[in-house]
Amino acid sequence: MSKTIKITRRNVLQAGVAVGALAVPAIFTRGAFAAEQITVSDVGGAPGEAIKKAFYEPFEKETGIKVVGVAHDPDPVTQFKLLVDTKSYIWDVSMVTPDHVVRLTNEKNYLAPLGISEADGKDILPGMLTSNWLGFSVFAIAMAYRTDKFDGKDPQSWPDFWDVEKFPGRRALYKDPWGLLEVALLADGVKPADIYPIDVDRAFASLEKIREHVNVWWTSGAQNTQILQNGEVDMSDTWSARAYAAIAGGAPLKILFQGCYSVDGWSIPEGTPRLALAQQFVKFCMQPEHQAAYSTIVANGPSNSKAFNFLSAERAAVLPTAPDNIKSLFEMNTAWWGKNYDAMAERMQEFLLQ
Amino acid sequence: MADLAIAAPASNHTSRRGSAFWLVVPGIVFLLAFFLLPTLQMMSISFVERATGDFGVSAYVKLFGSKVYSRVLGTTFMIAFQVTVLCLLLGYPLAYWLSQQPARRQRIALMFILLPFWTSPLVLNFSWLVLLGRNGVVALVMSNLGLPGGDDLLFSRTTVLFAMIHTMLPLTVVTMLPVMNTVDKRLTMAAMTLGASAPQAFWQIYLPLCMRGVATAGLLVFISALGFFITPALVGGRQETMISQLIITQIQQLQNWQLGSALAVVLIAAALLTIFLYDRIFGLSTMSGGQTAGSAEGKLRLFGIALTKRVGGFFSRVGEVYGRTIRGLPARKLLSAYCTLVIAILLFPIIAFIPMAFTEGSFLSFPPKGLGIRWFEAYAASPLWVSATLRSFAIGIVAAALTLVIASFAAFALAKSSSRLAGFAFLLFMAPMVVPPIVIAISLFYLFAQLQLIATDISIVIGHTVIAMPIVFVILLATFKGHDWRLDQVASTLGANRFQVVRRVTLPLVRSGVVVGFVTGFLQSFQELTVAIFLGGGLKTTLPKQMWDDITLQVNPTLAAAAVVVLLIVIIMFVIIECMQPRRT
Amino acid sequence: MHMPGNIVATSSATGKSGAEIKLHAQGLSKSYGTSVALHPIELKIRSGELLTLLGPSGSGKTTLLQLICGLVEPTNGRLVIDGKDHTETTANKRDIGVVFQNYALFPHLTVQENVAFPLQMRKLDAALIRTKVQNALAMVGLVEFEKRFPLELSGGQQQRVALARCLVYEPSIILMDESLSALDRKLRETMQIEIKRIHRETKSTIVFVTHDQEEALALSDRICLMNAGRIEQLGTPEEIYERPASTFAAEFIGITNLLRGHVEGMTLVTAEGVLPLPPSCRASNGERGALIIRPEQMSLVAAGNCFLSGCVTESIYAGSETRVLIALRSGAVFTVRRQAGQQLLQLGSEVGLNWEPRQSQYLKS
Repeated sequence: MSKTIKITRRNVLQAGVAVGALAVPAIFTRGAFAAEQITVSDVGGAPGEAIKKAFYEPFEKETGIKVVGVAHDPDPVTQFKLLVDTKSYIWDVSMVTPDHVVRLTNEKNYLAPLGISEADGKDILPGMLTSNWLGFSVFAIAMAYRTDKFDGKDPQSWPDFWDVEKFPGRRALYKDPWGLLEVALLADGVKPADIYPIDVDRAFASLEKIREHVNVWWTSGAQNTQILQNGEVDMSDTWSARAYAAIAGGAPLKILFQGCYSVDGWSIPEGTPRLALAQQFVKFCMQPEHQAAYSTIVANGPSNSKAFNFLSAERAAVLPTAPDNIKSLFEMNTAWWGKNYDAMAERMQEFLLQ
Repeated sequence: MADLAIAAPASNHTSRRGSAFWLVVPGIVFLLAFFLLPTLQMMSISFVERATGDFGVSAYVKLFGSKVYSRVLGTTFMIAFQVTVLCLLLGYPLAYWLSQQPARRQRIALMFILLPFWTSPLVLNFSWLVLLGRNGVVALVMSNLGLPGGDDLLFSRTTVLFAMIHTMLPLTVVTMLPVMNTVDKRLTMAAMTLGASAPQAFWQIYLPLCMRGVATAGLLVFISALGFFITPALVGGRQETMISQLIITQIQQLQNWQLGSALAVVLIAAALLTIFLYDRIFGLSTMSGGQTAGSAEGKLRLFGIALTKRVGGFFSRVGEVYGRTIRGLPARKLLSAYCTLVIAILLFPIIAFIPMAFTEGSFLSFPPKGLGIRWFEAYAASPLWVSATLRSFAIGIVAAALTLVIASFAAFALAKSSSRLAGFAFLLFMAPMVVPPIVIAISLFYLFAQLQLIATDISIVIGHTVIAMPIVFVILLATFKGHDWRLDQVASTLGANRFQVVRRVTLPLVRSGVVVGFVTGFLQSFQELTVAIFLGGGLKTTLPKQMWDDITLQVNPTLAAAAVVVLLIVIIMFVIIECMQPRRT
Repeated sequence: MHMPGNIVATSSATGKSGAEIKLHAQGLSKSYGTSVALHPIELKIRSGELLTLLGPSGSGKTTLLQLICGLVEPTNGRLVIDGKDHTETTANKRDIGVVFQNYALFPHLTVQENVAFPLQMRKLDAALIRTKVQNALAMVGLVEFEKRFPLELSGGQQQRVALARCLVYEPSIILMDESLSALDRKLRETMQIEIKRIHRETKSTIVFVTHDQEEALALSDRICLMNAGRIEQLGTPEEIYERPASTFAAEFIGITNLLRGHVEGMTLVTAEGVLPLPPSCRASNGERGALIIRPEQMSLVAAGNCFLSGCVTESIYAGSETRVLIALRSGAVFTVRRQAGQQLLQLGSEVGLNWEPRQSQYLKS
């Protein structure tokens, strides 16, 4: 008995040393990028999977350039700045929103040009293409509610969401001012056209009315899907694709397309040694068939108008860009957010702690 | 791990005084370069004005001036304080009960208690999210029992406290237990023969004697609790924001290094203040097992004695009344029942995870919908999960090996040396334990950003080595202290040369300590998240980082499948540790 | 088998005979599951006597001690102290003092606080406590150490603190569990004298547990010899040494010169030959028994014309006397004591052993 244990212990020790020795070389070969390889950072998760199938794999197949997809933090601006400042180009392309772009260009320019000519971009919807950013994923900040909880008397608007008497039930809201302040103003009766510039005091005053009735302050898209899916809450604000993922998973949900929309897109960090490959990749992502493939997997809208030719009518109807949906949505003012986000984040924190 | 109480570096029998002391140098250099200096550098940023680059204290003005920050500071200290007090109150009876068990049963029970300690807090917290949810199993049971409130268990202060206590209770128990095990049971017997009632013997004799363990546990729990961010972030309500979360927000989201590092300074200052108070009251050397003689006239000591006397007298009277009225209620059975319940609660989220991983549905739920291994297949087929698992293994092994080499050199040197520097070296090696991981992570992040080493495996290895250093060092120091060096001398006189002495006598005798040290270092690295978040840069993803990403970006049962795999690995490592523990005599 | 009752009845008194009974263990026994630590015993301890529980480890002496002080509950039997049944009384209410093997001083309390502890438990007035502690410390000569912690004292000093802590509340019975075993020889002898003096001065009843027969002989008014959970013999040191009731008693008390055999007439047939039995002994033919002769009662003579003969294997010089070990033909080793000044014996030389048969003793197996 003791003999066996002895042997086992010795083996364990030897095995440990052996594996350790094997692992060492692997550790020290850092960033051994092949010449024809780029790294793209995206939001990961379900959208990340869709991006991989719709863009990375076909791009690799067509060009032979390998794409390594990595997930970045919910707010990639710090990482982005850091990698440019330290010239450690761990990403060659990154998924960012227009307000990220503002924050990445206002003090110092961190973005490289995409090098897309006007002619190449003629099919892209207005505002979806700038010199350093290509939008490809339109999403709505809207309301989602459980259809099994309101006995047919469903909430019809954001003021209804705020009306806890008429519509009792557990509520969730995003734990971040981004998109939330707009929703709060809608609930307070502000017309979509008058939202910007945001009346911050009014928005927070409106939020204060609902604060005690919010059961969950969600912090990530995945959590949003989860709490709607498992019935943790009856109504919540949502990023449309995230609620749609729960619907696809069989949850009795309805998305009320009231709110605003914004776009996720690609930018290239300034100074990457693989600029040409990165630009080639972004250009590839403009193609309508690939955008359509993306929108088929995840319920976000394409930026290329011709992409709708490759989408079924039923699919197009659930996207935020469908005419019925987008008519009650306004475009998020990314310039305002680029300028005010930090101050709003701090005020939000203060608001939550009260 | 089970044995924190080790002798402090003190004079030892050595003929060649200080001859081995140079062995501590690699460790000192390593910790200076990757722990002390980066931390100081990061702290200094808080005094540099963002806009102008001049010296300034605006960050601190903002910190203590604004309502939001002072409120978060208050919340953090309050939560840490509540967690500490509750952990001590709940853990003490458990540790006491364990100390009364026969050695074998104690070891088995300890295994169950330590399992949640080595299980990633991510897994535990995620388990709570599912189990305590509105439609979770606990709510179901409560509603069947007719109890109200089962649908609103999550996202409150109570939930945060509960989950944090759940995470910290094992640490509390294993810190207290060794001290309790060394308390001579005849002392309470002696007190009884001298006229003390059972409550008096407990309060006036037993409790003061294990105070050292209680205080050390309190210190460790309080300091660890100060640095928590996963638990309040995942199961807390809107008001449960702690300093670490603010640091992450400031640095990751707002790029405000000045304010972020000022917050880190506050965190470090709080930890140092706690240690200072501990030192004043109990003496730092007690942490490493030294006996405090203390002054017989010390006010605090006299106060403590008077207090325990009062409490002892009070409970003695309570005991008498109790004995007269409800005589014969078995206090022992009550204690056993309590401990069984606590251990069951400790294991509950881990055990509940396993069936969740075998669900056939697309979402995590408990009880699972249908049984199958679909998500294990998804786990095995996903390059993300597989590469994260392999990377965690490789990093864990290399970090553990590096830690082991550095720590055993240092422990060997300190165990045999009586140099003045030994005290400094000891404190330096223990220091990473009292600096919250978040501070170590951002300090290294700042350092490696300058060296362009962000998002490399080596940076994570270094970070994990820093974090694992104290515990591995303690294990090895205890091993080397416990080793009878006269045996080596005997071997020399019997004709063995120095190499033969080490190979034939020293190594076989300290082997179990070395293996336990290695496995402990591996486990530390294997479950570490904070350093991996910052230094991995999103490119070098370890298993905990992948789990964190999955929780925040995509919720599906692959996570539970991965957690089961992690659990399995942890259990295997754990069994290795248990087999290697020297048998208690 | 020795019936416990018989022992009490047969053991003759030392002069304190007829003194009142302080403590009476009536059929007291203790079992742990199926293993019996102490068979039912009958033991009466007289007021003011110093009784030693002597026996090898596992003989049940510590169990008996724990039963007396109330740390262990008996399986059967009753414990009567001063005529009152105290079987159910908890340890803290028994008015019994215990000095533990390793003293069990409270390491977090000073000497003064340790000694004051039992008085505080009895809720005595603070001024009275101070006086009594001073007196107790004076008695053991440790007044100047009162502010020290136990770990700052030497073993002998700790021992004396433990003693003072026990004496200070004047318990009517003091139990000492191997209290001197951790001390070196010289200190042990000093403490033995100390204990005898304190016993005289306080007139308390002391039960002393030891496995050291010399200590037992030196200290006791009476010795209670225990073996395998039973009382083997109870009597004064002289009785036990001079008239051991069994071969176990004889061997344990330090008499190694023992030869077994069977009785034929007035002789014992042993492997070493036929030896005379003491004239006073009554033994029947064929019964098995042993003959014991104490070392100081044997004389060395020239080989031949003697009861036994053997080879000198060792000669141990011990100052006032020399102990000579002699290997007999059968392999048994006998010890003989010789006064100092006698001629040295050559190792290996053949010698003979003689004794007065009436000074030897016969024990039935």
